Amino acid sequence: MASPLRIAAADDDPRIRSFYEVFVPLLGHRLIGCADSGEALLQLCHERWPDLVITDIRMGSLDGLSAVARLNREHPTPVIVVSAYDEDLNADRTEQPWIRARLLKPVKEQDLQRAIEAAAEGAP
Amino acid sequence: MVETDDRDGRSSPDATDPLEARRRLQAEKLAAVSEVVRALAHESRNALQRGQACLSMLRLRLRDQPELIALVDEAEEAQERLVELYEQVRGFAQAQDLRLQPVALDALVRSTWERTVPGSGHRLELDCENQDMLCRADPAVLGAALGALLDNAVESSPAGSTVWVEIARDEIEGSPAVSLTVRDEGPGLQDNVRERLFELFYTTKPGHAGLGLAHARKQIECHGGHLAALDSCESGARLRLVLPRAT
Repeated sequence: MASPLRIAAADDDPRIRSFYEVFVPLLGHRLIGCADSGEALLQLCHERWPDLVITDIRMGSLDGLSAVARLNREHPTPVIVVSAYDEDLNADRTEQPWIRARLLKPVKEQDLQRAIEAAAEGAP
Repeated sequence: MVETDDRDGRSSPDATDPLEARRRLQAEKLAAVSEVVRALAHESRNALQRGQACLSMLRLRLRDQPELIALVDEAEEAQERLVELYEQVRGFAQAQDLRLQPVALDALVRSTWERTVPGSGHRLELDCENQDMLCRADPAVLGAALGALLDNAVESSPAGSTVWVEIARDEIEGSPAVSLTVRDEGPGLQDNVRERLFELFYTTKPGHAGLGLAHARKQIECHGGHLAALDSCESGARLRLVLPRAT
């Protein structure tokens, strides 16, 4: 298993956020916070600088990809992107060095575990 | 279905041609269906994620109650099946670029046969009325549809039997067309099967998704043609596609 990471997550669906709150600790990592928008994710990261970000893509006015792009201009942070839209996951915008894994919804805890391990190892 | 003009310098289709108008109408209908299905499949994934999150948390809480965990397993399997179905429907409805050009059906039948059913032990018997008979089609898309017909014929008939393919002149709404009939030496089609043969997810074969012939019909209709099952003759099933003839 990867070393414990400090993880920030973001999704506009409260049920998905509670999924992260339950399963990130069970997978041996620390969830430092869950945001419901791109803006809230950026604020969370500015306050607590995570080792890894897990973010949905389509969220309100500032989407997840834009938020992590801004974050990475300030501080390199690996990211797992999650979406219900495979074209979003395969878009040119996701071809960034900080995007370490892509997850197509619906995601199970095993998928999350594999993605976190890949991100921790720096796999593309 | 998105159409692109031929990029090899051949002339564009005649917009006043009734078959061309029919093909364009069909393409527009399919593009609309494709858009709806695509949106449905995407939005369903968000709902399915919510369901999956609930099931994952339920499994944690019920970990000491195996009889209830079995219900969670069943619900997860149903979720997975739904994901598969959405993906299959999305693939079915996906828009394709049609690159129309004159296609010699007899040559396409031979190459598709070699690619689709190698080593099946069946024999192909091809009867072409006229070697120069060309239809107007996208060879890759038409080849895929033809592959589904040949595959169906092989799977419906005993090893060592013959699959007959007949290519002949035909008409679509008074315009010149080419027909291609595939006949096998299997048990033929019952009336109730023939009526449902091209329905999405309908199959009489275990382990098959029931997509092949439904997809083939859609592909033929995108070309402005049609595909149907004929009444059984002396033996075997007969499926016939008709496509506009290339002029």
